[in-house]
Amino acid sequence: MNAKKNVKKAKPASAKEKKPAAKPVKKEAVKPAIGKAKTKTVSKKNHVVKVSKKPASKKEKQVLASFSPEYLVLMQKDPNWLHAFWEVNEARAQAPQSKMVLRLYDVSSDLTVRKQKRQREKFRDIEIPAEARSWYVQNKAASRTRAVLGYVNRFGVFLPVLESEPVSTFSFDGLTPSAENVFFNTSIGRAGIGGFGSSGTFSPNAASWLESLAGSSESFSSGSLSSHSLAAESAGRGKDFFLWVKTRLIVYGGTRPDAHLQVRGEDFPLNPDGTFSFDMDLPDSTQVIPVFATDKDGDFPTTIVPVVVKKTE
Amino acid sequence: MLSKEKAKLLLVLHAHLPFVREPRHERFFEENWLFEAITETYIPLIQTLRRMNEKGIPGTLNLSISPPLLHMFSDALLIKRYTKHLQQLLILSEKELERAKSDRAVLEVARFYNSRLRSISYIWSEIRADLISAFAALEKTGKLNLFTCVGTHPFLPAYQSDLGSIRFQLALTVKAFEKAFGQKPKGLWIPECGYFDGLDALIQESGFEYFFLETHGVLLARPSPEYGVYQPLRTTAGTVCIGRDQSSSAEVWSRKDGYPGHPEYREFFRDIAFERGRDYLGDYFYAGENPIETGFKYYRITGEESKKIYEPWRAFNLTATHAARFLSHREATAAKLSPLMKETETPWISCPYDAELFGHWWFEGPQFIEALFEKAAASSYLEMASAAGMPGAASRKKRYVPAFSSWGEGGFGSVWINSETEWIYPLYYQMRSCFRECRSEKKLSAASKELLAQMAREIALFMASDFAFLIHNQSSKDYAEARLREHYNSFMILYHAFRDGETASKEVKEIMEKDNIFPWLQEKEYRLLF
Repeated sequence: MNAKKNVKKAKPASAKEKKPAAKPVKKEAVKPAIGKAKTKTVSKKNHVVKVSKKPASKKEKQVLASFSPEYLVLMQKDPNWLHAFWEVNEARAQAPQSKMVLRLYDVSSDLTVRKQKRQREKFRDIEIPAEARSWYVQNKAASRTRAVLGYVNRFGVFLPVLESEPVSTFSFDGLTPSAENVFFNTSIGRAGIGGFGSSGTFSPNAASWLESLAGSSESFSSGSLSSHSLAAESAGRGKDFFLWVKTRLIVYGGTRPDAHLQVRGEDFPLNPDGTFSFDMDLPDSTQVIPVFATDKDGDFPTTIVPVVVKKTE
Repeated sequence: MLSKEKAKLLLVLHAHLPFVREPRHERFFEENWLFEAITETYIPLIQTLRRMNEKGIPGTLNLSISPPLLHMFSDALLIKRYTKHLQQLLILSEKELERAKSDRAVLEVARFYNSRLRSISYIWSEIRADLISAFAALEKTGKLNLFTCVGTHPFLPAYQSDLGSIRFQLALTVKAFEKAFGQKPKGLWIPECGYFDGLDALIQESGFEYFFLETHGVLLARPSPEYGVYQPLRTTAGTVCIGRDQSSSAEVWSRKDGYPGHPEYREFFRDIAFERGRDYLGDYFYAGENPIETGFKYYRITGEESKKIYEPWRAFNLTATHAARFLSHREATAAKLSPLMKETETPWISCPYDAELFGHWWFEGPQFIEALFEKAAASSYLEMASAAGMPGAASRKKRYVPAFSSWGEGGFGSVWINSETEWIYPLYYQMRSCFRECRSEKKLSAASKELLAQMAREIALFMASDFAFLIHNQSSKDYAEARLREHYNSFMILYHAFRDGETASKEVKEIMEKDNIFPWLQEKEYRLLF
């Protein structure tokens, strides 16, 4: 459906392109939700008015006046933000001299969510303006989170009013994907001509991929990434003698200086005279290296695919 | 390496449109989305697969058809309207032949459209307007692996707090597929690839054997998968998932370098609907004052403002070049990774796309698919495989926990959960609370049960991710907002009718006639919402 959904507005390419989330995270821990209203009644109507931009129908008003469900819902928007929204009956509204608080419990280790365990669960409190009906909360490193909305009275006692279902929450904290793993790099599409070694032009960059996915560097620690390299062909015969042999492959060619060149599906820069070259480690493998070029206008599409088989006997 | 089994390339197409049926208007702008997709994608796909079968080209295309599409394919009103639509297109194509006769280049394109529309009309009558049977017949030939998508296409991470609604949507999924194809579906497309930790258990309990994930849903799984996205993973719940290969995605989707953006291909945005007046096009191609796309487009992308006339056969020839490039890149991946895997393992490369990209957005897309299969038939490295052939859960010991992910912008939930769309969810929870309030231990009349079933349909339609997407994308935003409002209002009318015992009012009848999706929906399904 996404292609269709872009109709009249954008080319299809936009729908699936990953763009780094441009959200500044190093800001205040919470931000108010847009459209919050001053009183509960108005808040309800606001939701309806936003839908239609017309006055609510008679039936709608009747419905809203006649039924007032209560709920507290927690949703995860992205690894950095949770969205909470709620509806509370007037009768249970805030007592004088108390503060409304959204208490977030880390229930990662408590899949049964028994109330008596609550005392031992980690939690954090976020103070919310009394008139708010929704709030964005920064996500912390918990794999499962539950929210309770309540009030802290003047004696500092938390009085719960509503609780949400527990939801699984995801954060980048503590993640240790095998970022220098060839499978990982190929999966994210950066390894096509990465790993070519000394040229260094296209080194794979899993860390930057993860950072762009995280949308910030705050909740992501690149230091946690592990790495390993492929073993070289080698032979050892005791302590004093050894031999190792590795092979490198040089690929080179030329086209018009203003042509457009791709190697293994990724743009490749030409030298001013139109030549190009790169070299890469060549372990025992079959290397298929599609090289594609067009002229500057995109005409004369031409593909040449060298296939190199290297084996060690 | 050469003695090893070939790598498997999964070409996965997800076909979906929101439920756009509108019986109250003879001609409706959004209904045309369906008609365009049938003309440009679904029937051309049938033609492509039939040709592949006739030529004996090996390989299987994986096609998910969403439940709203399955319903619209079999809806009598929409079938009648599409038949009329085709007739109107043929009449217009005759007019175009006349209009273009003074310009040879334009005339060649007009002739192409005329001949193409005749061919599509022929298929439409030959399959007796029954797309479902046509796809089922292709599955029997082995050219297709059919599966489906969750219910009305909800973004499931937004409903994690309401697991009953996800079970309800999954029950609709299984039954819609069973009604259409006479068997339970084995594969599942999760809308927008939207996944949260724990969803696999619901997928597994609904009887699905495999589903598809975005790249980082797999890469960030716990424990870290040894072979990246190139092997299906068994989840803790015991179902199997596979992650998307990013390179193959970027090659097609990238705005800058994607194949569909090549200057030779047909320009999407220059439809004659925006260039000829009402006097020429006639009332049929107008909804109120708004022209409706005709599909007659005479320009190629060209790469500059001054567009050149489209040359269909040059463009179709180019698909072979692009298919060869696409294939060689996948072969390079296979050749690189296969030797690094255990002797018993071979790479599985999952390449999912929206089906409507092929034909509707990228006009030459179906030809690209045909060329890809034809070239892959001669590949030493890989073959076009069916997802049904993936190693099953029983063959995998290690269990993984995939991560929260989607294929939307940003990679998580921000397309559907943001400041522009957050008003949607409180309305949803109001409906859910009202619906639960209707639960009764008393025996209900058939009419009251019908009301509950219709309320459940309105909830299901309200949940479609399409609306939040359209609002976020500023594309058909008014339509999306109006649809949400309408389903909410319809629900509330039904809720009052249920409470007041007014089961046969005119309003209720109109709602049931309009939102007639899942006509078989009964207590067995809607009780999951209690």
